Amino acid sequence: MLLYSFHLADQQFCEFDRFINRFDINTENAVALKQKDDLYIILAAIDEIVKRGARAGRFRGENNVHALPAENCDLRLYCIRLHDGAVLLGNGGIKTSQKLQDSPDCFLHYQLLSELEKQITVRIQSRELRWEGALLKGDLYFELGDCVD
Amino acid sequence: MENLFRKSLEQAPEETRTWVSKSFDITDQILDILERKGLSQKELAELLGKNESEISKWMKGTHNFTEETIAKIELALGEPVTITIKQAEEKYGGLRKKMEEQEKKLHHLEAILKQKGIEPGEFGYALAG
Repeated sequence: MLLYSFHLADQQFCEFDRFINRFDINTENAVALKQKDDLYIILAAIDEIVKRGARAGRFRGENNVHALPAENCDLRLYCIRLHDGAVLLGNGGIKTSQKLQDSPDCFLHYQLLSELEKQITVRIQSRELRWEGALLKGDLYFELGDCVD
Repeated sequence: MENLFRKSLEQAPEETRTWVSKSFDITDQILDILERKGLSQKELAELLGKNESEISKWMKGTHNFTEETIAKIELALGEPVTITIKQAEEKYGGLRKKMEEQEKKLHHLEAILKQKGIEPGEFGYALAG
């Protein structure tokens, strides 16, 4: 099982590491502690996916970008199931509204991953990218328009 | 990435990791039953009187299932999703006894082979093949 993430050009760390670094903080603040609890649920879920594989039945929905965890948590991590043996982890944030569009802390990360997913699909179809076992080979540099400031 | 993930995961309370793991066990079992019976998550939702989106959320593996919900799912699917140790003993105890008897016979056979100077490992592979 392979976990992928991606680097933004101006960032030192990949998006998944930035997500962990942002919420895995030592604090006495109750709100931050709740987010930390949510983070641990997300990390435990990723650990199970690594152990068991990314079976398709767990990743269903209107499109290919999925949120972890799906309920009872304010924190969201966005990811894409590439196949049974590979998941691309993005970044995430705190969902503060029913509609994702009204949660700016999440929506940006969702949009970015959604755009990346489209481009990966196009490149796989055009054979610019190809799977060699669980490894995605080819041009992995993407320009994603104006999604990110 | 892997290092930071593992380091942070180590900080997660064992309780959290255990219930998430159990939730994955339960949902793996539900997904297996659905696949075996040729049922979709939408059909399970209809059987339970729920929205399909709610079932999809459950299947992600981070839903904290209550016994009541599991009972409803089991009734809808027509078979158990989880079993207790007592139920497992009742259902598979006979099988375990048979396996223990086979194991005793195997040990006995290995002892005989050893007496005759034949390596049990070599013979074991031959039997397995």
